[in-house]
Amino acid sequence: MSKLKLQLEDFASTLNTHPYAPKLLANWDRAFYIGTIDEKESYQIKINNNAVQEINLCTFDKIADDALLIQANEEILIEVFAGKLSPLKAYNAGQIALYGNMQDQTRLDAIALVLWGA
Amino acid sequence: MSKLAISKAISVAVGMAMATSCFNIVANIAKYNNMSGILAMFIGFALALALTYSFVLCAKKFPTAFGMRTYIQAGFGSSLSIFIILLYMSLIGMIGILESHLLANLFMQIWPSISPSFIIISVFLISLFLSVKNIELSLLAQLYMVIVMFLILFTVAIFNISTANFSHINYEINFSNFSTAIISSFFLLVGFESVVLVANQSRKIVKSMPRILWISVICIFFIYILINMAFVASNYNGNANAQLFLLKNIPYGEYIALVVSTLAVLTSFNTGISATGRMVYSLSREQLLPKIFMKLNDQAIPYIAIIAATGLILIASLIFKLSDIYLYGNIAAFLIVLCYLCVNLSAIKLKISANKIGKFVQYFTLVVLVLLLVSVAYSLNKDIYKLIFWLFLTLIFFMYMKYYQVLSRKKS
Repeated sequence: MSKLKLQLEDFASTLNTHPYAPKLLANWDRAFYIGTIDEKESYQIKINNNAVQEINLCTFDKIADDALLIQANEEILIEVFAGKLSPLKAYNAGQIALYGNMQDQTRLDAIALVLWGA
Repeated sequence: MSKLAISKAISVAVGMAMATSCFNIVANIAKYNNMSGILAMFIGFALALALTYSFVLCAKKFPTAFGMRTYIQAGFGSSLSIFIILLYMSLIGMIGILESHLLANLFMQIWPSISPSFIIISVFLISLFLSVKNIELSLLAQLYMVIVMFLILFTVAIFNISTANFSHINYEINFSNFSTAIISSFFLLVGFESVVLVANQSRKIVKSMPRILWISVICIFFIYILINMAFVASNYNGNANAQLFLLKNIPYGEYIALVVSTLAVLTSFNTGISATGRMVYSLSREQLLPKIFMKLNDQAIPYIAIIAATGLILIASLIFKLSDIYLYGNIAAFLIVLCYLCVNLSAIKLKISANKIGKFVQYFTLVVLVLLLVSVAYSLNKDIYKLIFWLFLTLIFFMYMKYYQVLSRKKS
């Protein structure tokens, strides 16, 4: 299993066991995507019933243009999902690309704020 | 779907750039320069294109980033980027003040008994409603308003050109008026850069961002040139309100002028208010402003940030006197050139121009922007101290924000 997949699994279990998870993920049944900038490795994260249900490997060309997608190089993604690098700082510095509608982006931002306080 | 998304993005840039004050600027270019004004507008447009090049390069390097903030942060660090964003927000506020007053003034010319405060408050409330209600509604409304405004302006311009007699046309160049016209033309395009703030809704838009920036600037310029030709053709002499003059021979012309001006103001405010709200939210998210600005409504819109920003500009608008219009206009012009200069310098520092011609364009733009900055500062004359005071005030506020951030981090 790749380092990124391991980190995402860890993120999912942290999020699912967080006391605020039901509130954070309420009425947010959807899939979002995490992909490396070279488009070689990408994952679909499915959220359902207020929890992360699945993390599936997927091919980049299957991701829709308007899908909620976080893209960066592998090291940055691992640091962000480990809570070591503030996603907001990474975003403002142009290290992370974030695509998708504004409501979903803000929801991800809220998750980052609650989980990592940054 | 993607074409609609791209059209919405273009409408954000066009709507922000096209404001009711712009019609007066175009009318003055026509009045003082006649046909040579068109040449001046082409030169001003070429300068704006050179500046757009820097934005396009930055948009390519930081495809989904937070616009100007990220570009400057990459070049000069976080502190300067925050300071410049504060200046940019105050600039949006000043534009809001000027535009709302010009619109109220136009309403008063048609209905003298109407209260300017009523118009100003109404236009702010409508924009606030659109920005807070729903982002999709806001973008869709923006698109339709820009299309309607474009169609009306196009029709009015063509009508004036086709019915004019061209006996008064001349091609003489008065260099003083000509240089002023070049500078004014450059400022007509201010605001196009705000499109990057709504870019990352889909990858298609992000990939098309360079094209969207170019198309937006060209669309704005096309309609301005047409309006300028209409003013020249109808021999505008400055004795009447610009919009009313252009529509004097059209049935219900004064009401059409009101519709166009209201749309111009609403499209600018719609983008400006949303953009300012997002900036306030982002600053609050970084603990530079109180947490309350991070509150979201059920549409995930930072409504407290938007309401606070709108309220502040509205109060300032109600205090503002129309006689100060040139002062605020000049200060706003100085601030926008300063912001553009920082973005251009960042692009140069980050060495993101592709080739020698690109580098030349960037350095050329740098010289132009410095000259513009000096020219605007010079035109402020005795009021230069008011600009310095404003910069000082922003600096104090910036320092307070940094202090607040340190305190917040200690607490958490």
